[in-house]
Amino acid sequence: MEQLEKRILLALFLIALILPLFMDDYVLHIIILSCFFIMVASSWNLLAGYSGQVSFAHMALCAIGAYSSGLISTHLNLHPFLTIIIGALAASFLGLIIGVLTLRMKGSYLALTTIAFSEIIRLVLNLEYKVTNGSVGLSVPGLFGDVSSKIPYYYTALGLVCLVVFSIYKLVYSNFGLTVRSIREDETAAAAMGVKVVKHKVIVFVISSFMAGIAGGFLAHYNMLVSPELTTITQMGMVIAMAVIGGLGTFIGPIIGGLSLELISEYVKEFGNYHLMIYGLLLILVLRFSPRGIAGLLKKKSRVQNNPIIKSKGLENEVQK
Amino acid sequence: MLKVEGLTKHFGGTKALNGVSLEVEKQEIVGIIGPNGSGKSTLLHNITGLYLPDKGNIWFEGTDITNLPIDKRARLGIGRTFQNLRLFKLLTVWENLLVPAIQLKKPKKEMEEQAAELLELVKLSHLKNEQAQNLSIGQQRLLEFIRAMMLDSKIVFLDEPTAGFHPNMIQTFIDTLQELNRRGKTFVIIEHNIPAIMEISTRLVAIAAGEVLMSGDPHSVHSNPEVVEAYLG
Ligand SMILES: Nc1ncnc2c1ncn2[C@@H]1O[C@H](COP(=O)(O)OP(=O)(O)OP(=O)(O)O)[C@@H](O)[C@H]1O
Ligand SMILES: [Mg+2]
Repeated sequence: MEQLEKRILLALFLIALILPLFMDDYVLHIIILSCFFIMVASSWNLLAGYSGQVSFAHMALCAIGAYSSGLISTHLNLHPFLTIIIGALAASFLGLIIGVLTLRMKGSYLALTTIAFSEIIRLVLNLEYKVTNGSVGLSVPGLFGDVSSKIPYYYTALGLVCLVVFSIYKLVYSNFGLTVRSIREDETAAAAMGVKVVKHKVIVFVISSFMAGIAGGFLAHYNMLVSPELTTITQMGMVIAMAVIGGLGTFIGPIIGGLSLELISEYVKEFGNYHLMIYGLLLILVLRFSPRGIAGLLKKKSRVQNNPIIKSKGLENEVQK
Repeated sequence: MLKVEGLTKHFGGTKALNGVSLEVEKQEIVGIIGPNGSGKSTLLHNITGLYLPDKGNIWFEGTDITNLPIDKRARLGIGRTFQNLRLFKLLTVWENLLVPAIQLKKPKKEMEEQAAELLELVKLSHLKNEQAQNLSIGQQRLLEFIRAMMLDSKIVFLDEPTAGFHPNMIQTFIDTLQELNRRGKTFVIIEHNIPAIMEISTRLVAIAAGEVLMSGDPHSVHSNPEVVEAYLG
């Protein structure tokens, strides 16, 4: 990771630490939601951006984590802190199954299969009333019981997002992460270089599903409600937009994307449901002008400066464009 | 060290390989020549595990590897490059080299020394932190060649390693190859550049229409009327 990125993250973290001192509950609420989105966008980026498996089932797996945790904590009377982990394990188990089933699929086949899976989950959750209370959603206990203050939730969200993002950082910048990126670049070449392609792809699917499950579980016990809304294609689209606008396959991208898009959408919501339009517009702009998103803009300059080939051919200006 | 027997591979109606048998001894540099579409790359794909043959067997150092998956063959010490270049384009030159070494679970220091030395040999050290896609075609070929060496490959298959080379790069390639050969590495090289392959190979194998036409001393194979006929006809 580059120096500039490290500074940005450190600054964000320090601001986040002291934010409750001078911000009201509404702002804290939005930051808590941002933390949720950073977790799902970053873990989706691990799967899609780093291993090249563009799955649309991520929010469905997130919902599996949320519902499992909600149901177990309600019926077995276990503390949500424990059931969130159990829910995440359930999500990763399902992630394992999807990962194995879609192993040989690429591009649009993988996309369609995971959309189908996600839709099945959505329909079941919408239509099933006895256990999950259908489209109304399921009431679940709060993470901190009846405490109404946002502050404990805020710091829990901050802690969780740091944990998730730090784990992703460790993974991505390890030998394992490099191997996974080689698979994204070229599966056949990776295999010819001794990479156990299947094993690595499945492991990434499981890990990213686990993280989505953690995020889902936390959201459930924060909102004290889980609804099938989580599994809509719109929600999945938002998460993808966050990762892509921030910068697919970059570490800092989904963090910036998750935070900024959540802030934008909260602000715009006052005027109606325009946030999706703005997302779409941003998405088009980013894909056209900086395929590596906002993170790509941060990097571009230094890359060109250090690039002997581009320099020697006098191509600096070309690339800048 | 490598033995191929009766390898046959059909694609629909095309007989790409029609009972190819071949043996390669340790430290040989075997050149494979043959007209376009004669089955050279298909032979290489079958030996390295990209395709499974319809018939025939492959032994490597005494073990039957005919049905082993590609990554397992790689870890046994069978390296390769691709005719159409398959680097990890968005990874840096350095990262490209580390990927195979990581799969062998080598100590960090050892793999870094090895990568640095190979880069030195092919004169690409200054491009270490460059994305592979930013290299020229010739540089990419050299990189793909040394990437295969990072597997500690005992035998390495190169599919047209000098295609797209700037003329002055060919010598770098030949020097590197011969240096690695002196250290005990075995090579099988598919090449259309006849002068180059005549210079480096210790044995030449001519293939036509999915069959081995002739194998032997480079000069006698090259001047054999049947081989000339296959190439021209
Ligand atoms: N995947 C495939 N599917 C169908 N046909 C194939 C496939 N691969 C190779 N072939 C056919 O098999 C024959 C041998 O092809 P191959 O690529 O092995 O030739 P080659 O000797 O490497 O040629 P070149 O010198 O052009 O690289 C050709 O007729 C080719 O069209
Ligand atoms: Mg070929």
